[in-house]
Amino acid sequence: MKLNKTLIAVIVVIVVIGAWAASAYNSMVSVQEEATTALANVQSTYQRRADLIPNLVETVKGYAAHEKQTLEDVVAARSKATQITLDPENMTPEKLKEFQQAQGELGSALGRLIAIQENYPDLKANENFRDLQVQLEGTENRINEARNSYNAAVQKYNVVIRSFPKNIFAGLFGFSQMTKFEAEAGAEKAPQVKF
Amino acid sequence: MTYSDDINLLTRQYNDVIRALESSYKMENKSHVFLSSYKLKRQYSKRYEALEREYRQKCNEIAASYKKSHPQWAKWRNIWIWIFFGGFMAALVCCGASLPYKEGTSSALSSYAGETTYWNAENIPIPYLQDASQYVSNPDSVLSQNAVNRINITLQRLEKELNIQSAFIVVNHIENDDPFRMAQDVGNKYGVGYRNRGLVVVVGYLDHSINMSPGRALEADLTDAECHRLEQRYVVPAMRAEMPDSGMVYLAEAVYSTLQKKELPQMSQLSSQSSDDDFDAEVAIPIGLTMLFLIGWGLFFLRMNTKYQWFRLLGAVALLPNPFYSSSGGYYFSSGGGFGKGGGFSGGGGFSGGHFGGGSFGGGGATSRW
Repeated sequence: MKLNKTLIAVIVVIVVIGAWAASAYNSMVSVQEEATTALANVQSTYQRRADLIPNLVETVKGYAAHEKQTLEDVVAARSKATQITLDPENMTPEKLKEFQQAQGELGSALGRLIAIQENYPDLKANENFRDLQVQLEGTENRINEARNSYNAAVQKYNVVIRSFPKNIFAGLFGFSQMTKFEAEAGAEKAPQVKF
Repeated sequence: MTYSDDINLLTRQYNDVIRALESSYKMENKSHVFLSSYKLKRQYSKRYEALEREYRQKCNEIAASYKKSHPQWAKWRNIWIWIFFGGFMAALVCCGASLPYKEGTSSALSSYAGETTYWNAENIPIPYLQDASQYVSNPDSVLSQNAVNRINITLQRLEKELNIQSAFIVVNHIENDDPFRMAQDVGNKYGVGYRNRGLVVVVGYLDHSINMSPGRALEADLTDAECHRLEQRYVVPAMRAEMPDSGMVYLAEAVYSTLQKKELPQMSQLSSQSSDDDFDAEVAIPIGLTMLFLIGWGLFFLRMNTKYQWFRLLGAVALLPNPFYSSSGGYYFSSGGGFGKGGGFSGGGGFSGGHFGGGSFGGGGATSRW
């Protein structure tokens, strides 16, 4: 009788701990998914920017063909940036930094490309070019919003897996902290997109 | 004898007494027997004041007795004075109501009226939450009520026909002069749009900026380039001409037409110069008509005054002013009836508040400045 009671108590404790562990696991999975979805959105917006570039390059070529170096720099930066992708499963701070650096270089190259419009009034007045500029500005805004959403999702995830007692299960189930997007060097100065 | 004749007779009698008093003063002043000139003058002045009080009392007694003996006259005297007052007030009210509103004046006034408010997503009022037919937030009164009503009608059609919720925010100043940030924050905070098909437009009129932000699922229908084109075509020219009403009304119509895949509205040529000329003509006509009416009404009043004697004007004998003061006196008016107070107004009914559909915004849209 005594043994049965003890056995029942142990089973109950195991069941409770098991249920608690399952609940904790599910909540960590949920917030992790939110963070990975947010990361996918960030990459999607960066890709959107990259997709604008061929059209932009072709438009500029029609008016400023001899700005060869600037055009080549943009194409090269785009190629490099699109090759580096972020895998949520294997994301490290170094990989994120590498990704950001590549995107930053593409952003700088784009900025130089846009700036040449000052020397070419016909290019500046071209409706297609103006539309592309508007889309570029919109894309930059989307990138910022997506990064902010990602950082908020990562913060939420990190808080969940670091809080006691879920941090016990986080270690057991292999949940590790995710890295946020840091501000790029020079990001304190807002890029000027002039029409 | 009429009421006027009785008063005139009494006035002549008292004027004779005043002249006799004045003669007595002159004679006494020449002799300088008892009092100094100044003290003598004061003494006679007090006698004049006593005579004046007696005269007024007798005028009131004559008026009361005439009203008693001529009740119909007294009754119509009261009725007619009310009619004249009512006609005068009605003319002023009609004139005021028919004067046109000039765009831009209220925003200029409100900017001087007190502390400047820099609006953001936290402090901007959202009327839609109190009344589901109000899509425009206009706390600085940049837009006229007429323009707000027209925009509300258009945006209501947008919601009912295309299931697109929207919020138009028009203010003088935006925090950090960032209409994009405000639009995104408002859109995400309140969840504008069903299934991410919402639209938020934020205008900083004195900041000279506008942002249009479509929801995530609306970006394909209202692209960044399209938003920019609409801003450049409808809002920027109107704002430069200081006609915010036209700009926002046309923008709302253009958004509706774009999403309905219909032809965009044609904006008539904007010119602040011509609008000033039109405005002057629209002001001159009501004021001119009111002046003509008031002149005619005044002549009619004078005609009736000869019978009812509300005021003793032309042809009336006036009491002589106090000759013992250096400043001259004025005419004496006999007063008519008094006026009662008007009633109050009852309030209107209530409106059901709206709720937003939980939409989110991802940074799309466009910003323009002028």
